[in-house]
Order: sequence, then C-alpha cells, then structure tokens
Amino acid sequence: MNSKILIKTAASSLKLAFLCMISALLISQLYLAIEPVIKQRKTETLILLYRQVLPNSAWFENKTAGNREFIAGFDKQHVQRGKIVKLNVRDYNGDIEILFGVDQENRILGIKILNADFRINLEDDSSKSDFFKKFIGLKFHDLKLEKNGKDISIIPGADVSSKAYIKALKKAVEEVESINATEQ
Amino acid sequence: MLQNSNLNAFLSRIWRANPVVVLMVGLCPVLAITTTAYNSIGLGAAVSFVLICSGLTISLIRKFVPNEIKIPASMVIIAFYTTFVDYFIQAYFIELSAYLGIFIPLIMANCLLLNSSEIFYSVKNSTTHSFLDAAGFSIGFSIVILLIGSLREILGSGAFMGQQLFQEPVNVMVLPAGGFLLIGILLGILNWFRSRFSEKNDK
Repeated sequence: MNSKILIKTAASSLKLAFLCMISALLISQLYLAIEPVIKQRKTETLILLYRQVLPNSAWFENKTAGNREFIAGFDKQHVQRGKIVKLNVRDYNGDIEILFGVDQENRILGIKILNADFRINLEDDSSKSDFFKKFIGLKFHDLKLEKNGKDISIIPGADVSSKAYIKALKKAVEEVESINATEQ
Repeated sequence: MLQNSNLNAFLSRIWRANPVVVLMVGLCPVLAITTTAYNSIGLGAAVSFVLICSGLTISLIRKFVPNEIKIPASMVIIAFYTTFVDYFIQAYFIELSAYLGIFIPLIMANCLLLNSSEIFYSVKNSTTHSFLDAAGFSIGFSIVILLIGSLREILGSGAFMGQQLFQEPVNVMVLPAGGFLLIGILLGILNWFRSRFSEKNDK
C-alpha cells in the first residue's frame, strides 16, 4: 500500500518537474529572443530622457570624475555642452531617482524625477512640472533650496513629496559641484 | 455550433458572475492601476491574455496531470504566461510597463486566475468550454476595469485618454480611496439594477 502511494507521489512529482522544465526552457528561449529588444528600448528611452534634461546636446557619453559617474552631453561638433547626473536619494518615504542636467556654466537645463515610490499622491503632473520649471535657467548660486526661499513654493497638496524633491535637488547640486571640483 | 452551456458560461462571466463586481476577485490591481483608461486597457489586455492562454493550456494538459498537483501545475502555467506578457510589455510598451510596474508579475498571484484555474481543471468541461469561460472572464474583467479607469481619469484628472477635458478635478478619485468609493457606487448601482431585474422576472 505504502509503496503504491510512494510510486504515485513520485510519478506526480516527476510530471510536475517535467512541466517546470518545459516552462523554464521556453521562458529562457523567449528571454534570449526578447532581451536585446528590451535593452534597446531602455536605451532609447534613456536617451529621450537625457535629451529632455539636456536639450542642447545631440549625443551623450558616460564619464567618470574621480569615483563619481555622470553623463556628458555633446553637440554635433563634438563640443561638450553640459552634464547630467543621475542619482538615487533615499527619503523616509522611499527612493527617488533624479536626472539633473546642467550646462557648462552650471545653469540648470532640465530636471526629471525618474521614479518615486510614493507615486500615488495628491499632486498632478502639471503642478510637478510647474514646480520644476522654477529651477530651469537658474544658476547654482541663484538657488534658494529652502522652504520659504523666494524661488520655491511647495506643490499644492503634495507637501511631503515636494520636500523629498528639494532634498533630491540639493543632493544633485552637490554632486555636480563635486564633479566640477574633480574636473578642475 | 456553440452549445447552450458553453454560451451560458461565456455570458455569465460577463454579467451574472463578473469577476470584479460579483465575485470580487482580483481587486488589488483594480484599485491600484485603474487611475487612467490607458492603464486599464493595458491591465485588461495582459490579464485576458494570461487567462485565455493558461485556460486553454490547462484544459489541454489536464488529462496528463494528476489531481494532486493541479494547483502547482496551474501556477507554473500561469507564471509562464505572466512572464511572457511581462517581457512583451517591457519590450514593446515600455511606458505601460513603468505604469503597471509590479502588478504585471503579480498577475500570477491574481485570485481571478487562481479561481479560474479550478474551473479549467474541471474534467467535465471541454476545451471549448474552458476557452469561452476564460474569454467571458476576460471580457467581464476588462469592461469593468475600463469603466472604472475611465471614470477615475475623468473625475480625478479631468482628462480622458490623456486629453484634458476640464480643470480642477477631484484629485481623491485617483487615490486608492477614490477607487474604493467608485467600486462601491458601481456595486450599489449594479445590485439595485439586478434586484429590480429579478423582481420583474419573478412577477
């Protein structure tokens, strides 16, 4: 009796293992076929985002300054027109990934929040764009990254996330200044 | 030619046994994702694909898979199709992939699919029956989430399919609380309609 149950269990297990193997094999083949497309799409999207934060550049190159990584933007004549820093900021609310583009005179050309864990909040996209528009065209020394500074107002209805964005911006400015110092 | 039982199974999933508003399964992604009509179409299409393909596969292999391992076997099949959809969306709809995020892999753990796999495993059901059942489930699910997504986008963002319709929307509607509120109102209306309908039939 016991041996019958044992054989039945073994047969069932083997069938399940076979099904898992077939599925794994098919998924691995699918992955091999589709992975280059996924990579290509991610690269294209990233370049699109780079162009949004550094609109004066035609092409981009990953560079390092000391131990810091950044993306240098070049025009068609291969002249460097600015740089983009990409960094993660940990806040009590989650992670924020920010793209921060500045030209060679440290004028802010674009800011993009790539992802925020607290995506679902009361703000809408237009207020977020308005919030970031305030910084475009400003040089570092013009920035007032304080709650009551004259260049910043909190996004209506999204006090928590705008504080997090300011924190991310401060870190991005520090990062660019460090890269500039290393380059000099 | 469709048999009556097959047709009944198909139609009942759309109306009498709708997965969202009657069976109340798979509500987590419904609340989290249906903030816009575009997201709802994306989620509806992804769930429908996984549901129909896994339903067909399960009904085709059920004779070879013993009853003892039907749950793990169903999960392997559902996981396979979910992974397929995840890769496909990442490759060809990267924006949708960013919006749907974790809810694409989580299709695998969706109660709707786990609930359906039981039906697909039923020996008395033919492959045609399983297919129609899955198609009915998919259409019923997609219609409801598209309705919720459209209403939440219009009320919560003042837009439809990305086109701005009016200013100063009711922002709470894009929050999960707004989703709960809308599903509650929808359920209330449907239950009222159903009770009126059955009263008329009784008379």
